[in-house]
Amino acid sequence: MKIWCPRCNQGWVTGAQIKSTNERVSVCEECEAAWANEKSINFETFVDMSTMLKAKGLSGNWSDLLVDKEQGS
Amino acid sequence: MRVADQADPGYVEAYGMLGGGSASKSLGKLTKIGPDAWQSTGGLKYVGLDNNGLNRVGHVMRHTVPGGTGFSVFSVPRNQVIELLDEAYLSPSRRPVPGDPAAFITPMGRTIGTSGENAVRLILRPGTTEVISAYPVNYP
Repeated sequence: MKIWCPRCNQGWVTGAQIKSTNERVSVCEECEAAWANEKSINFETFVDMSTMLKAKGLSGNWSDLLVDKEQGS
Repeated sequence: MRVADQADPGYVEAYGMLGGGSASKSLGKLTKIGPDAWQSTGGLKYVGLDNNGLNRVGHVMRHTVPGGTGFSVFSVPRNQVIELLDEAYLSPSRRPVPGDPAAFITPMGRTIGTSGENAVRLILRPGTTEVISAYPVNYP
C-alpha cells in the first residue's frame, strides 16, 4: 500500500531492499525519510536515509537499495 | 572549482544557474565542486542523485512543474529558485521544524508558491548544508 510521506507531505514512501543485507526498508523518494519497520511509518519514527545506510557501513546513496518497481510516484 | 556553465550535465545548465534573478546578484549562483555536486553562493550544496537519477538541482526543480495533488510548486521563475533557496537559508527568519532537526521553514514575506504558499521548507542532510529537497509551504 502506498503511503504519502508523513514527513514532507510531498512524495510517496516506497518499499526497498538493502542490497548488501536484504533488509526491508521504506523510503520517501522526495525527502529521503526512511523507516526500518514498514508498519510504523509516521513522522515521529523516521530517520534520514543516508544516516541509516551509513550506520551499516554503506554509501548512504540510493545505489545501496533495490527499490520496489510497483511503488513510487 | 568553476562556475556552472553549459558543460555541466543534467538540469543545472538547463535552468540557467549563472547568477539568476534580479533581487540579489550575490545569491543563486552555483559552482561545481565535484561530480554531480554544486555549491551555491549562499552556502547550500546540491550533491548526488535522487532515485530517478536526477541531480539535486533537478530534484528541486521538479517543484517548478505541477506534479499532482499535494505536490507544491514554486511560482518564481526556474532561474530564480536557487536564489530563493539561498535567501531562505540565510534568512534570520529561518526556523527548525519541531521534531525534525534537518528541516527548516523560512517565512518569505511574499507569495512564492502557485497555491499562495508564503514560506520555503528546506530539507537538508543532517548536520550538513546539503539540500535533499526544498518546496513551498504555507506558514504559519
